[in-house]
Amino acid sequence: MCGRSYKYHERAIVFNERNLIRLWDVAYDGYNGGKDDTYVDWTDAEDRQPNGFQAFKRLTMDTTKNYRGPSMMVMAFVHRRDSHEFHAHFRRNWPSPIVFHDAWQEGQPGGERVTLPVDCENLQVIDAEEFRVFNSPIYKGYREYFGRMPAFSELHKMRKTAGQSSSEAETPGDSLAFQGTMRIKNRSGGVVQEILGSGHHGADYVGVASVRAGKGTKSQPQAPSLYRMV
Amino acid sequence: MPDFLLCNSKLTFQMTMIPDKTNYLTQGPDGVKRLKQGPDLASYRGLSVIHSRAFSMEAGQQPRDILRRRVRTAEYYRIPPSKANLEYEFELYNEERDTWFAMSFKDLLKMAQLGLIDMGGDGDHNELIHRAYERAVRGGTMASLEAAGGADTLLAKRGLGAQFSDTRLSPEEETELANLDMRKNVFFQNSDNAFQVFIDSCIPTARREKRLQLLPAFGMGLKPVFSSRSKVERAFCEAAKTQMNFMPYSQGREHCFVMSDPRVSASDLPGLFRLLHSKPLYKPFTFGLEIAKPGSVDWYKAFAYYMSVYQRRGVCMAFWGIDNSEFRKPPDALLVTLLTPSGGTKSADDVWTKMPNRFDDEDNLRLLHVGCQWQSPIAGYGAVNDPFHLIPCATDLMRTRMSSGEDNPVKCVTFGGFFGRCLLMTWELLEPLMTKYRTVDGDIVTGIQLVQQTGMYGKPNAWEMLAAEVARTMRSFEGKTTNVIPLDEFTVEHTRPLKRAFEVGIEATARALKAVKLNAPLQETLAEYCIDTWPMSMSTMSRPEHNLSSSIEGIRYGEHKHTLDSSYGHLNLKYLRSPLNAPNPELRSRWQLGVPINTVLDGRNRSGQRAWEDTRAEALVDVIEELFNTLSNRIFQRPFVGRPGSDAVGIFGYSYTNSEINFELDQNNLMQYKDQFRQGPHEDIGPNLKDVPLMIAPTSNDDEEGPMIGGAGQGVNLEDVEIVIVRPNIEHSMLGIIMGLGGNELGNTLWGQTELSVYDDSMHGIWGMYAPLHARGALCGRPVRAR
Repeated sequence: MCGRSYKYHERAIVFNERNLIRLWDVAYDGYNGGKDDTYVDWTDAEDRQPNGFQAFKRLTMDTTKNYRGPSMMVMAFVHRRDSHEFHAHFRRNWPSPIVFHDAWQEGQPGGERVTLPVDCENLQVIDAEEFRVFNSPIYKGYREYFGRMPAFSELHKMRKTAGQSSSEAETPGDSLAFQGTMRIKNRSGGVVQEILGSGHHGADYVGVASVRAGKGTKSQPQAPSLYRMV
Repeated sequence: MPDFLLCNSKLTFQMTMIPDKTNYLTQGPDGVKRLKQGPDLASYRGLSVIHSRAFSMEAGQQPRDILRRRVRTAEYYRIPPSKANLEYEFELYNEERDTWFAMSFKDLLKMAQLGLIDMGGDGDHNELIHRAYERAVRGGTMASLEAAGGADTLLAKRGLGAQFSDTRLSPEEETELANLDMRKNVFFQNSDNAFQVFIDSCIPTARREKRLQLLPAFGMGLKPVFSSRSKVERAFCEAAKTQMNFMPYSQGREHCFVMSDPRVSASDLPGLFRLLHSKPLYKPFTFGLEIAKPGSVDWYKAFAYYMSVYQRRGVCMAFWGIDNSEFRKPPDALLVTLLTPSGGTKSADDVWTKMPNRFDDEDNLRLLHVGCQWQSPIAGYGAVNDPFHLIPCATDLMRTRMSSGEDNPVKCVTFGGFFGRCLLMTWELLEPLMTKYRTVDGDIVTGIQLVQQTGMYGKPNAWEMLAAEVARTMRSFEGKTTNVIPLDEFTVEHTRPLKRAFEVGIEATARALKAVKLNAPLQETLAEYCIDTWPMSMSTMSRPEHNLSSSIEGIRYGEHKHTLDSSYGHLNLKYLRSPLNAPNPELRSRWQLGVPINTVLDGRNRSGQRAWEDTRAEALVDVIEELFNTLSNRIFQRPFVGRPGSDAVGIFGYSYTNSEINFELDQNNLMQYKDQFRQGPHEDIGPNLKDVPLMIAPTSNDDEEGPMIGGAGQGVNLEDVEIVIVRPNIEHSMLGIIMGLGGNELGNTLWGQTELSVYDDSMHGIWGMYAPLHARGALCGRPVRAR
């Protein structure tokens, strides 16, 4: 046998891009964090707690790792329901999504309009003005929470395109929040109201973790039956 | 039309209608591998599936699939202001555990707390949220208060505690009062009895049309009755008739009638709450006159604490104050004042000067820390961690040093006694000691009794482990000649090895004696023997502190939670540690500190050796025997009690039947134990209340009806509170796909600058060619192959 080694260069090229489409985030492949029962401790200024807001900031801003910080930012607002302000500004129903990181300050007349990219390629930038809810004098207290939050808006605006974030293993962030699923129960355990989630990943229900883990099936809350698996 | 789909293999899980066989149970490791890799799907609805691969993107990094990325999304949950919010629970989904979890409105308000840090916003907001939380706490503590009974039913069922009247006495009440006045002499022959003083103080107060605010104190099983419907007085008489056995006991210790029932039932709590809800309370676990105002979170903590104390021990929930010059009390404070009869001061001061843990305030009003109340004067049977069982604080050195001198019979004379008094007895330690065994004679005994009855300290080989542990402990003291041993640290260090040693040793003894181990849960055994591991079981205060606070106690708990399993979580370290830095050594509770080891062990033990030097086997047997005796005394005996300024020392014995436990003063043992006193000091055990009658200070109507003082929740209406929850970092790994029409329609693979060799392989019938290309040359499609 006589032969020689050979070398070559190759590169895939696309002549006709109209025949190629990239779709991002079409299927789940596992839950990383951020949707458990831990909460952000707004009082922990000295960064002593794993759920303190300083740790929360740090973990949020580190987009190179899976998120393992606290999940819930809980904010409370005390209104004066008999005030003119309350009647003028209170909205019984909020839009979905909302701008949950809003730099609006009281006295700011129109303020700078909030624009945010919403697609994977950061091509479509929308006017998110209609999604703002905290730009109201009845939510003055929001400033206190805002000061303890990570810079979600900046994370959102600076996020890389899907292709870049994928190849560089960075996590894109978001400063828009959709309505999530919540059940309200009375003391006897009866469901008074159930609000179904919308937006990113739909409603929550027991078993959906299996789907979001990428298994494609909902786990059945029952003992496995062998005859189906063998 | 696209004809291919490029995707991660795992995504094809969601394409196939036939679930892949991935179960480890049936498929073994292949199933797991298949679950990880995904189905090997060749096509999907006419599309060729091309499985993407993970590529090495950076040197030293894991290969990555560029069709897979992490994505964060956010969700919000809003609870608009509503009156009903306090009644509801709010459930959110926990994806980590694939289940729901519930939070109350109060929980959410706590999570929304901002503390005192001002971040440049509306500073008032922080205060508002805090007040809202306090109000929610207050509302939640006694949610069913209105539905519950009023204060006039307070403790009435058991005839315990206190009662007050808010109106002029009716004729019936006058009659009942007179009855009570008369009967007190029937049941309490001793005119110095605290009950008589108590009644005598109540009657004129009632007749002055004052409200009579009596603290739910003393567990006395008695109280004057001013309501025509009340059966309290009758109930007391009935109780006294049927439980005469407590009378001898009560003659000596009037303030503590030991009853087997809990002193406060759950249904009584609303009444107590109503009685006290407008009263400032002293904060527990703090030294000094720190007052928790009604409505504050601290107040509710204090209330819960005092109720818990009261339920368990039946002791009063206030400071005791003694003032020899004139009666006085701090404003707005619940006080039980110790006054001598007829203004005399004969023994009150004497008692006071002997009282541990006292401190003087600026006005020379001497008060006791509330924590002393449940501990000190009336240690209950089986209160294994009563401070009188333990090594006292550094001020009691003279009574704790080991010595064999004849002039100091009350000192620790052996290392075993010292060792046995340095441990807080946790459930872990009690487990082997209180395991039940059935002997060959059919008797049911506990592990420690089995050992004590047979005296097999050195016989089974297994005891070597205990001896080794004791020897190790003794040696460990050698380098700690100047340090004070905190009791909790000592407990943490020694509980686990001691437990193992006890287990092995006791089981070996049982085997040798052919005793059968019984399977009885520890808690039942402890209950049966009335073992009170307080404060180990005082978890209502300590547990939230550990879980949620950023305190050093929480950190310590985290460090040691695996060391002592469950018990350590119940150690109230905050209390144990709180006055550690108190300027006055007298403020340091017995709970706080042990003694400097060098001052304890500078004496000689029985064999004339320094304790840690003498680890010979026979000496260790002595040590172990004394250790068991000390622990046994802590479990089965009341601490010694004595009268201040007197040589009389007593121990309260008990008799146990299937139905009840009776306490009585064991007169025969009085002097006998005096001579053999090894347990602890007798000079400062607390007041003999026979000499220090108690009188409860009445309060005026104005005081009683006063508004909530400084209610921290004032100005905040919980109906006006809106909650917004945002989960901003819900992060998943997501898969992408590339779909397209392959072949020349899409593009191609460009090959350039190819160098091929021409060769001839006749054996295989293959030949090739050398095909150098120009720089600009290119071939499209597949690489050239020819045959």
